[in-house]
Amino acid sequence: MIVTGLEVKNWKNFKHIKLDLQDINFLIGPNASGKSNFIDIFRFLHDIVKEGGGLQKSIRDRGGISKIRCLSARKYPDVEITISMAEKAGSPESWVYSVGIMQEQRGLHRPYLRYEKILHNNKVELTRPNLRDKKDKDQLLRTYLEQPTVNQSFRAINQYFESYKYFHIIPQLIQHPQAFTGPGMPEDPYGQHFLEYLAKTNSRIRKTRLDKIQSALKIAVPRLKDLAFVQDEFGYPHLEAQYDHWRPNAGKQREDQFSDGTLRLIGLLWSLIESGDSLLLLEEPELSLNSGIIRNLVPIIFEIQQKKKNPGQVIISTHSWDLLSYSGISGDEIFIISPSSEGSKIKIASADKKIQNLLDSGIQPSDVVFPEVTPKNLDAQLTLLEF
Amino acid sequence: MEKFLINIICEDVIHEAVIKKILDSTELFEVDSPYVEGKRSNIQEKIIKYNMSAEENNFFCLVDLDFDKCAPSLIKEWFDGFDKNPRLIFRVAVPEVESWLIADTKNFARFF
Repeated sequence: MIVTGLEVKNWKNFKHIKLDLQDINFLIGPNASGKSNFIDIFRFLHDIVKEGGGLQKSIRDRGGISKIRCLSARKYPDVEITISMAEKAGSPESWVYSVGIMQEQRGLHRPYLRYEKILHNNKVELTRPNLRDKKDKDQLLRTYLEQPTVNQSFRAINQYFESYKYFHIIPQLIQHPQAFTGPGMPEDPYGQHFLEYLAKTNSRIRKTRLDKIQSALKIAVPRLKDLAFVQDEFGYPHLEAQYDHWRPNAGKQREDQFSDGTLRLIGLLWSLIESGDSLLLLEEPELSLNSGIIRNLVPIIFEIQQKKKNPGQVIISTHSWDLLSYSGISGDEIFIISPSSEGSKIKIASADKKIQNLLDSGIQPSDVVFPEVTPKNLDAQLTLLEF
Repeated sequence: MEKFLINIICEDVIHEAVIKKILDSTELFEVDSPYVEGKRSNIQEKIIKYNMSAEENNFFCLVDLDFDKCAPSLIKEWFDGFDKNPRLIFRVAVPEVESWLIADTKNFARFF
């Protein structure tokens, strides 16, 4: 399944956004413009349905409704999300899920549902508040989506949101696990337990994936060979590879000797392959990577996605000029976030005539879109020019 | 009077600031996007694409002459075989923008 459209009101620094999404989507914007907040919309939907999640917890974990609500939407109290989905790119919209959330005026100030609606092939599948909700207001503290007893007819959405993956590997967490003790984050978004996760993966699947990663890495880290998963004498999982260099018989290297960039790339490629036909959320995949590799990253992502039977969807936030230099990226795949006094706005690059025209003229995407997000007062210090 | 939206194509931030100052002084233009290309050769590579885009957008491009022979020959070489679109204003600083700034001795001295 893929997300075809998204409409959100009153979410963090977005007062109102309405967008069509593509198979691959790039988010750009200045610092603190709301790229992570945009990604968090999908993480929120995932948190509602995941095991141990739910509406109350997902909102509590975000600091309560007051932290989610957009500061620019002063008088408008509801947080609203409508997400449209289709079986695959190009096929008609099959599901629409909408949810409106408010906060109790008195008492515990718990978040509750103003409404919850589901359309399936344009037919109403669910509309709340329903009779049960009217009899017992506490029913509105939970979505039907998170309740297995009532979500049979739309469990496809539940499973779809649950399959969302967020990725932001921090190489040091893998290289020096002993320095970061404790239970770690649920679902391990930063890759702290990446190696244990590899250990739990079926050995045949793991090998196929590592082989695929190895072949994709050929471009980026050509001297890295024989990438494999091993367990040491104590049973601890490791990644191992041979570096082809001037000492031919040098021993193999393990993850703590891999470069930050190599580890991030391995994690990134793994999650791309693993995400299957689901939605993968990538934050700044360019970190720690050499600019030549970053330039190849988008073609690699396109290739991996295209080879899948049902290519999933990827949303990538980036600050990297190199990443968007690939001219295969089209204007409708780039979302430009710009802050304003009325909250952040998102515009699809192709909707801007000038941008689309420059892209059509053959100027590469990064040259066209980054000037749009560069803070305008950066040159204010050039006082020399006050003549 | 409504101002024309214009985009800047330039080598670096000094060029950008100079162009903005020039355009401001005309009171005819409002700068839309600055395309700061980093170096002159990048502009040379893309100028024909910008020229194409000038069918629908306004551009002001300023480059240094540097070691080229003269402005007309530079323009001839860069736009070889193409008609320069009138909506792309293309100017060459001789020999370079910085020399304009240094030549403004009074204001230049005031800076220090």
